[in-house]
Amino acid sequence: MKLTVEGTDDYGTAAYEELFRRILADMGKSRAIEHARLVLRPEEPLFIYSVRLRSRPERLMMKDVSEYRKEGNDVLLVISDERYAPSILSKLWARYGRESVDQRTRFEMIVKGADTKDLDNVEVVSGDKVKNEMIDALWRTLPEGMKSRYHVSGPQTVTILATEGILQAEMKEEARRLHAEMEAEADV
Amino acid sequence: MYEVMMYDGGVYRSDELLDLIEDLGGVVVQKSRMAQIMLITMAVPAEDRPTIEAFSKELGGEIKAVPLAGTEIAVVGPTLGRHHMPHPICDIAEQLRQYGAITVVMGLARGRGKETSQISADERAIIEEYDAAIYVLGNFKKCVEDKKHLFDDVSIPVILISGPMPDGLDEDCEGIICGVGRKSERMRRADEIEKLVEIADMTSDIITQRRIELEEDPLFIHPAEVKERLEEMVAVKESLRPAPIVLHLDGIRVKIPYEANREELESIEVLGRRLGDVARISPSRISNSSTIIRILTRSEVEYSDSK
Repeated sequence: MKLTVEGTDDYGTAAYEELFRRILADMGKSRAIEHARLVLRPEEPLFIYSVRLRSRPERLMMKDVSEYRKEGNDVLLVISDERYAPSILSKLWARYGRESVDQRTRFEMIVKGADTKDLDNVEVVSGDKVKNEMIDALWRTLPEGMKSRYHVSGPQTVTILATEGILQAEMKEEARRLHAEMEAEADV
Repeated sequence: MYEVMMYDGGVYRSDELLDLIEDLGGVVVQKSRMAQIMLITMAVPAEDRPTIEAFSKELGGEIKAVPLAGTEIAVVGPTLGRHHMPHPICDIAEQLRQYGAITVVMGLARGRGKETSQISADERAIIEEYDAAIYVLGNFKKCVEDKKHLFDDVSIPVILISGPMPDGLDEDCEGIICGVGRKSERMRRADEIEKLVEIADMTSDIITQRRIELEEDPLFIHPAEVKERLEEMVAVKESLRPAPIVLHLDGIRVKIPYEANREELESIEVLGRRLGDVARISPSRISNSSTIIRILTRSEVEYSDSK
């Protein structure tokens, strides 16, 4: 993760650089970030964090994370990527009911009365969820008490702005400009 | 002046040590026995320390310094949120416990924010029940400086802990230690442990200074002596709180309801006087389940007698 920090308070800038690294590492988000830029101006106060992700958060469908085939009236489904097993199970329960999902082993299950074309349309992970988790992680790294917040979200970049008083137009403009610069980096 | 110290040794002949403490005019602050190990925290006249040390050596035990024994100290953060609360505040509280203090950790309701931080009169009154308060603030110099209203009116000694060294706060608190600030993990590196020791040492110095000031006009009775009387109360014996009686420099916190026990507390006899005549007894501002006893100084008692 490349990290660029600009701040007006020497001690605070160094401390928040360290905090940002540690908190994101604790939350398992460091590897997902390619470049992060932090603007820290506590005297205003104004904090802008802009993060460009390594890859565009993907929308994963059922066929991307499992294999399935029709067997009689039912469908035999085999999970091919274990990371998504909880999500697959909860989506199937929500769509067909718990009684219709018979989990035989850790990865194999029979979905009664299901249809393969129907399963093709089931979304297991939405790209927005990944971005929302990243935004949540960024809020945690911000100083407490910055209750006026604004965020800009692009295909691969997330930018958040936080201040204590009224959100000024020029603050939002600065956040959007930083966001555009980070987005432009991705296109290079 | 009384000096507080701890005997760490065996049970063998420890009753003789207890007799010696009594003979010297000292008091036992706390006594705990674990199998054959005996820990006795005592307050004895400072000039009698060599006598206690010599006798402890004879018993095969040793005398340890517990400079903060007999004190209750509040470690205060701007909020209870994860940004301020867990690591440095709990680590500091734990370090002070190792120096013998009873510590409490406290978060203000609206202490966060550079421009919007506040402290209520109730919160200030609660903090002032303790012997000293340690305020742990954050990493930005301007924010720390702008939050001085959280502690500048507090009447007890305040030590400020922050990341950078703030300017212009020397008059508003008894001591400042920088280099801590917000942290995302426990303070366990060598330099961080040194910082914790520095905080505890500064607290000890400030408490010692406060003890010396108290000696200029001594309390009518030492809080540890009142503690012995309080332990005889049925309400205290029945209290399920882990430490029903906590010593302060100038009094005691006893964790029994004020309203139900006021008359009994006031009528306790100490040095031939009613406790109500030589101490101010009031309910704790934290809740009704605790009572604060502030012992008057000798001159205050003389003044009230003369009226």
